[in-house]
Amino acid sequence: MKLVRVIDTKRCIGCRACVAACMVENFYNPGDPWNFVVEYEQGEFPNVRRVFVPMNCMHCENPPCQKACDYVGAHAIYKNEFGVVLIDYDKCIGCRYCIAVCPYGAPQYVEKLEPLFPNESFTPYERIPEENRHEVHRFRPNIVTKCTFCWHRIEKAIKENKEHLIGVHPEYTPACDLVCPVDARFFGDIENPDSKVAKIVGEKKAAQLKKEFGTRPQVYYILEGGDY
Amino acid sequence: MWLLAFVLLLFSIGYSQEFKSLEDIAKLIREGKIKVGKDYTMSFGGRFHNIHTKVIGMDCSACHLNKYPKDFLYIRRYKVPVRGAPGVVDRSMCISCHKGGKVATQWYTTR
Amino acid sequence: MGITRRSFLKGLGAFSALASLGGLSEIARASKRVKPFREGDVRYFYSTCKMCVNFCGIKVKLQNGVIRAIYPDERRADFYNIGNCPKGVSGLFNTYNPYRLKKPLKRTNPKKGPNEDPKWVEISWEEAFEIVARKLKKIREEDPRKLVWHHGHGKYLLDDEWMKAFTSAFGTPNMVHRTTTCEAAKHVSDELTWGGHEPLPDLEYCNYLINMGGNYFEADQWARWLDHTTIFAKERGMKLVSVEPRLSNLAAKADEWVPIRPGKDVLFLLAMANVLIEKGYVDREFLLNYTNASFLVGEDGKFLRNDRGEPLVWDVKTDSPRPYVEGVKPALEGSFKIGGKTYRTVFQVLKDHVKDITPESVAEECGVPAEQIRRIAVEFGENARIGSTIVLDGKRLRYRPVAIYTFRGLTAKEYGSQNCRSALIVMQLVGALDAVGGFLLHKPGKKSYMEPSKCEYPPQRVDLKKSVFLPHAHHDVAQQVMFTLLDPKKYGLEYEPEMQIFFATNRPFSTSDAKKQFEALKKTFNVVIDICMTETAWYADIVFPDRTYLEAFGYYSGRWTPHARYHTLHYPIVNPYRIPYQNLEIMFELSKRAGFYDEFLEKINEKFKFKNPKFVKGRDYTARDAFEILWRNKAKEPLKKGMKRGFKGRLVSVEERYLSGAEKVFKGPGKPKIHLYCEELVQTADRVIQTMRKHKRVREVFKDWYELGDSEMEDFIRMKLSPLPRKEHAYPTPHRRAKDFPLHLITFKRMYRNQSGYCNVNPILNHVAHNSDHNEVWINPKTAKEHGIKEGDTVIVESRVGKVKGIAKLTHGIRPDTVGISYHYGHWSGDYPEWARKGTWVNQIIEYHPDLVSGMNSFNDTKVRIYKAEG
Repeated sequence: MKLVRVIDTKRCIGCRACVAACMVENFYNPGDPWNFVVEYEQGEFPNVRRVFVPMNCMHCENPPCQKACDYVGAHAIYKNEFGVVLIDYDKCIGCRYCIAVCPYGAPQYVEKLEPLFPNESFTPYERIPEENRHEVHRFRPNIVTKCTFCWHRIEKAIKENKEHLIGVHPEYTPACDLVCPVDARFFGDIENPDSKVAKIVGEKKAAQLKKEFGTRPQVYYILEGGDY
Repeated sequence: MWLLAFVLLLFSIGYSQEFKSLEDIAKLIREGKIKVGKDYTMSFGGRFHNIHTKVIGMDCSACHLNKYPKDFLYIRRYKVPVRGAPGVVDRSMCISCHKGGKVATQWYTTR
Repeated sequence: MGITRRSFLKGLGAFSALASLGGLSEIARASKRVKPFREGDVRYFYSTCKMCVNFCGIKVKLQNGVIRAIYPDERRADFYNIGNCPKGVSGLFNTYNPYRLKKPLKRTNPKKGPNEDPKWVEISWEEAFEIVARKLKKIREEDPRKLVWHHGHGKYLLDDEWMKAFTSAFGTPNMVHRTTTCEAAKHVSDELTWGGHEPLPDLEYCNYLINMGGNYFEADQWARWLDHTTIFAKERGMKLVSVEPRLSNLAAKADEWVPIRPGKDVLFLLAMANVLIEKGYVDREFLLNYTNASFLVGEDGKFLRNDRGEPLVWDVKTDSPRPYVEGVKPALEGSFKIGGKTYRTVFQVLKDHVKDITPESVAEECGVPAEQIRRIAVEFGENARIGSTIVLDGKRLRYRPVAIYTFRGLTAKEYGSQNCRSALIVMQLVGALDAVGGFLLHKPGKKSYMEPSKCEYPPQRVDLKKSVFLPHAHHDVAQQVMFTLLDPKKYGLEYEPEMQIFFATNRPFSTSDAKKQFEALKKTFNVVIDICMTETAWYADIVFPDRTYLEAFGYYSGRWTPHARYHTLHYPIVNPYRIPYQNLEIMFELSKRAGFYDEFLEKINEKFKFKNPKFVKGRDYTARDAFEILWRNKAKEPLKKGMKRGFKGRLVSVEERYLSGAEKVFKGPGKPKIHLYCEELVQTADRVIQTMRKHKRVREVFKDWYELGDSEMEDFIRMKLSPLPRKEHAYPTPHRRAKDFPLHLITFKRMYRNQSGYCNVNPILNHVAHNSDHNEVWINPKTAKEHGIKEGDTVIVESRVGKVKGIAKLTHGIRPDTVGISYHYGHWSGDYPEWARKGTWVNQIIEYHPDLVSGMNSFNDTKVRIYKAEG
């Protein structure tokens, strides 16, 4: 199984629902987004377009972040058998070499944990205790975090023997892909030729970003233009 | 091109008496014979910065861009509200040394 | 005792005592690896989002009693939304918001102002009810009209029948909703033309869609249905042309962006009509059978009528004027001499009217090349496939897969109604109304909408709705209330309002000349029912905290779509601040104490047309009881069942979709006709002018609104109430008068706010984009260069009514002669933290010149100049 995401920027209307969903789903620590929409303009008046490109961890097949982490000796970053790149917060030493080498800017350094409402106490949501949070949501200061492909949702599918429903059933789909109001995001197993992602990658000529780095990203883009 | 520039830079700061290739320097760094800061850290003055600024002698502006292309796809491209991470650095700068594994540690593969 | 609300609320939050800052990380460290992941009790609630007015289906995840996340309701996808927007997704933080109002508050500083500390004191619910009820009782005995009730979002939380019942039981005509700050002119032009409102493009089949300044990829009433439907239609091959001065998110995804000069849309559309007629893209069958195109118009602009008052057509069979009944064959074009007078058919009048309005003649004014206007008109005409049919579900139907959509683009201006009318005329020419792929009507044919106005004077209502001032304002005129309050006599009002209740609205903040609006709040006793200390609440005397949509019952009929109809429901899921009453219960309590509870219940039955069950006088009702009655009447099922799904809906048949509207109401002889020509406006103009001649005050108001001299007044009124849109409708007052202000100012809505509600205190919405916590001043780089302005500079934008500071955003996505500022940032309520107050409050520099037809607020007509701020 190789899990991938396909983002159709031709469909994307730049609403940032995926960003908001990611923040809520993953206990956003202010300043450390896992998902972000890069927006830019092309052309000059009146021949001008705006392009929206949602960005998150590419879960590379050759993840430079993992290499850097190994080199440093922390061995906190690993890629699991489903193709998901994860960070073990227990091993992370906060050196930020992974941030330095990631060509996509995905890893985020958690300097300190802050309440969502600055200078206010934590909301009931933020006070959901550690034991009720998946390991990927157990943050502490001086670690690096990033998009996990909503591993807590995928893992649930695997534990419940529902692997075939990953990216299909709402419970087993990453939150960002779930909320998109124009169906511009897809998630699933690219090794399954019948999966939506496999078909779209072929039909719509999806590309990977920054191929020159040899990272072989597992996030594919149907692009309107830009850097790829 | 960049390689050449680095070599010239090295030369100009007169880092070493006897001429060493970048590969040799990289090897010495990896073997710990050239000390470039104690900890693995991204902070200013930390190991990472020292390698690039002190040893190789790169200018800040070589990595930290004031201006970057409009279509630069990079999550931390916007300074606000992202924090706790360095400013925008175009990784295509790193590619020349960190791809291929000859000079610097290989982060990026050639294929 | 001057204690500010913030200082004591800090200690009061139901949870603030439980957690101290930094507690999370301590827990985290201590429990590391000790505790395996157990999610605990997880439940999902299917409900309805009320973060805006789309009423999307949501699925709320509750983990151990705490809202953990909000997802789209997959069951709602067949009816409306397939996803959610960032507001919907982050809606839980409008509920878990430490800046919520938690206890009733009483003002102790009688002085009101943006910088006046209200010196709130917390009071009990009992005391708050008593104070307000006493005041209500007194007013009700003296003159109930002195109470003005406002709601904006309140309507969508509950449905406004409750409030209609409350105010009519009380005895005041003054219940004011917000329609003129959104799309009233669009509603009114639809109503004058075809007797209904809220039409939709038939996107499933449409092949060519022109969007006139709508931005439904961000904020719009139908945004979450229009968005994906449009994207899918585009992939099917539909061409999307967006005509607007700013490259909105929608224009950004369009096939063609036509950056038209603000206010000139009517010229663009009339030129399109010119081309369509010239090139023969005219659906003659449609015009004859469905519209009043064949009616005979005299020199006075009125229809030729028989003794019974029926309008006449020229019957080519008998060569005589006849009412259009069975057996009559009307002429579509031509000029006829009848009784020594000349009459032309409506179509002839239109043809003559647009004859000289060629693309070439308007290109410069529109800022759009003539060839482009001409090409778009021809493409529109070609794609309409006039004469073609399609068979769906065994039924042969008219097929005209073209439509023009608009929202604030054509609407939010002094000539909003006439601008919208011009789009309706273009669509009628090609027969797109209620055809497959065209422009689907919604409940067409309501007679009272299509008649001349009674032009009431003196006005009954403080918002002047349907009065001589705003004769066809079928919808409430939100922004006028405060101006009337400042000088009621000026408008001939026979009473002076004393008390205002605001339910979930931040009205004065959101409309024109906003600073002036707040002055009016100083004159009345104000009660606010809301969830946050909005700017309006900052001027209140008594504040009631309300529950949010995740804490309260609420209803609204869902946004209809061509294929579905449904009712939506939301209900309490959490109540973190333990707020004891919700809005409706506050209304119950107030009416009880002020002595009109039974009348209120009776009126509820009447307004909702409740049959079974009904409210029974004298009985007590909680919100739950009330919604049991409502849901059983609306959805014909127990409330409990509704609470399992959050909605009840049905899909509609092809027959209902295409054959129950125009086909049924307008088609053929002997039936009312769609108004290609709005004769009712000519008659209204007569009445306005008569009243104006009698009452000097009316004239004075118009003079003030439109900056006119006495001599030009009557012609001007006739021009405004013209039966066909005219070139003059491209020149709102500032275009004519603000000569020293070279730039146009447009305002717009962004995704991250809902009007000027509470999204500013939602941390997620402030972080979802690099610039979502503030708004910017959109300036074309060319203009910026001329003014020495650079990206990020602080600039001053100045109009005739004020100036504001803003941050310059240089973008090619706006015309060089235009600046754009979104209109819902720059909050200043003393209760909001600094991070929630960012941006520019542009409404304070917007000039006020209401659309005389509909009362629509003039958001997009102001002219400004810009310069770099000193220092």
